[in-house]
Amino acid sequence: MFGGTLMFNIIYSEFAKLKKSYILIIVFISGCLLPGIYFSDAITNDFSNLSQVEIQHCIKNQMINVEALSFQFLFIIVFSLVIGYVFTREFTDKTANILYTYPSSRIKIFIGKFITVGILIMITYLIQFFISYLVVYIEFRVLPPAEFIIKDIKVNIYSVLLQLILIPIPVLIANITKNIIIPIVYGALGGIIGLGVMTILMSGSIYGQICPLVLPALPFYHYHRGDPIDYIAVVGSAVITFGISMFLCIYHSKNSDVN
Amino acid sequence: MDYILRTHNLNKKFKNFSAIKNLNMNIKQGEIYGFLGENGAGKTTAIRMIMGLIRPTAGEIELFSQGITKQNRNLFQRIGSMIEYPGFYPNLTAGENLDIHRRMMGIQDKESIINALKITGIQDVKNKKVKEFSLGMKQRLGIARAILHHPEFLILDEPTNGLDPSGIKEIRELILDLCNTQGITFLISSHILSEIQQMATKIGIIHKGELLEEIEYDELQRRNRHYINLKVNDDKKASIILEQKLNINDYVIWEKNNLRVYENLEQASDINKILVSNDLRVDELCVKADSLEDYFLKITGKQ
Repeated sequence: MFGGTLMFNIIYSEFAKLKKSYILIIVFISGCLLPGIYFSDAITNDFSNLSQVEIQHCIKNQMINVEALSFQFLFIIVFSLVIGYVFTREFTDKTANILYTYPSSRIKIFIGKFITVGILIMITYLIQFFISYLVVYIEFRVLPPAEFIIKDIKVNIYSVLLQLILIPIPVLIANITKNIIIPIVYGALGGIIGLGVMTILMSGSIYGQICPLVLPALPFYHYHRGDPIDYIAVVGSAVITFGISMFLCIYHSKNSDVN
Repeated sequence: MDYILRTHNLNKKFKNFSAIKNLNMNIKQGEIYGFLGENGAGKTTAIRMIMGLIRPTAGEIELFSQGITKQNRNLFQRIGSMIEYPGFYPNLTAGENLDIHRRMMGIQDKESIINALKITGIQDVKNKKVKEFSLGMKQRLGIARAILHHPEFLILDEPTNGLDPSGIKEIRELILDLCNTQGITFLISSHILSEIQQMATKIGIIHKGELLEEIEYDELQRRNRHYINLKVNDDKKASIILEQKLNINDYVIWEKNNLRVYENLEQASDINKILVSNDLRVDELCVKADSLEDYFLKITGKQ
């Protein structure tokens, strides 16, 4: 089998395994959750007497609040659950005994799962992005200006890329513990820490940027709030976090016994 | 003859515990190798090492006369396996589970799924979710998955676990049929002696991580055949009388002055009479037989 076909088959199989599982529902719900909450709040309010300027202000506030909460709190928990599911189910369903006897190497299987999780993360971002604008349009019958939308697309793209940098941490936890609960605990703790760091960032301090758990939220602070970015600290934090955790993941995948 | 599997001084240590000690297995093409051992003897650990699930502490594994390297992992395309519990994705149907296996093995032909289900007699449950399967059904589906890609070598770890007697018989017949018609080589591990006895052409007995014996089943049968155990005062003279006066050639001198006669068992009294009339002292004459169980217990030092 050619390398490309092999990788396609691994990723295709990973998505086939997710069919009829609760993970796809969770991905969809987590993409819709925060825009949905704001929507349910908005339908109880009357915006008819607001000026266009006030409406645009409301729209921007709503979008920004949805992104702040999801990037820094909700997504870290949801993605830890997704990662835990994709990587530990082979052990809970006892399919690891067959998965790791295929002609594909362990590294290829690991990369296939990693890409699958990455795609699921992107799908979650896409769902939230489109649902947010749909909700705003239903509420106010108007969209934010193009300039804001372009800036928001940038925020989402950078955020999703930075989110990918954090994947190896829960992957490593899932692979070592072979238990879905521990990555979720990591996600919950990460979410709480993220909220704590958010208060530091909101106060105008940039020291919180060193914390890897807030990396996915930094584009939001930079583009929507205009906060300065300490690029050396942020890039250093991202490279070190990804480098170390990915190295450990690959080392563990290659050398651990499958029991 | 070509070897399908050979292991050379295979060892596995878990911290201070030696699970496998200097394992040297030899499986030739077309054999049904019964890997016999008590629970915890090391059968599954050995199989896991063969399939690359766990790394040996020392030693080498040769599959199809080749060592396993990163470059030749496609050797595993020629092997089917079912190790311990047959694990499946419970939210998917039998057909969907097999389709994942088909893709991962690089098989283009989708008909192979139907064929494998037909061979194992579960074609009717193709669209049923695996979480609704009994353990026996999962065992069959596990075997269907193992044979889907037409392997040359099948490794089945306790394949009849959870099956009822008729299911055990069907699996046994399936294994024998696959061996005879398709020439598949088998490695079947079990702690159930009678199960191995009815299938195996070669037996490996593992005990506390050591392969105590590797023996052709015919040879074992020969060793375990009914025989007249003769203790006489002169084994050379006894053998001449057996051959010339009784026309008996199927016998062995087991120990000094101790012969085992494998034919004419019903004429034990005549043998006694002729030996005595030829001035031989017969100290013992009795009909004996060893079962595989006796043999296993003897080998493992439990008898």
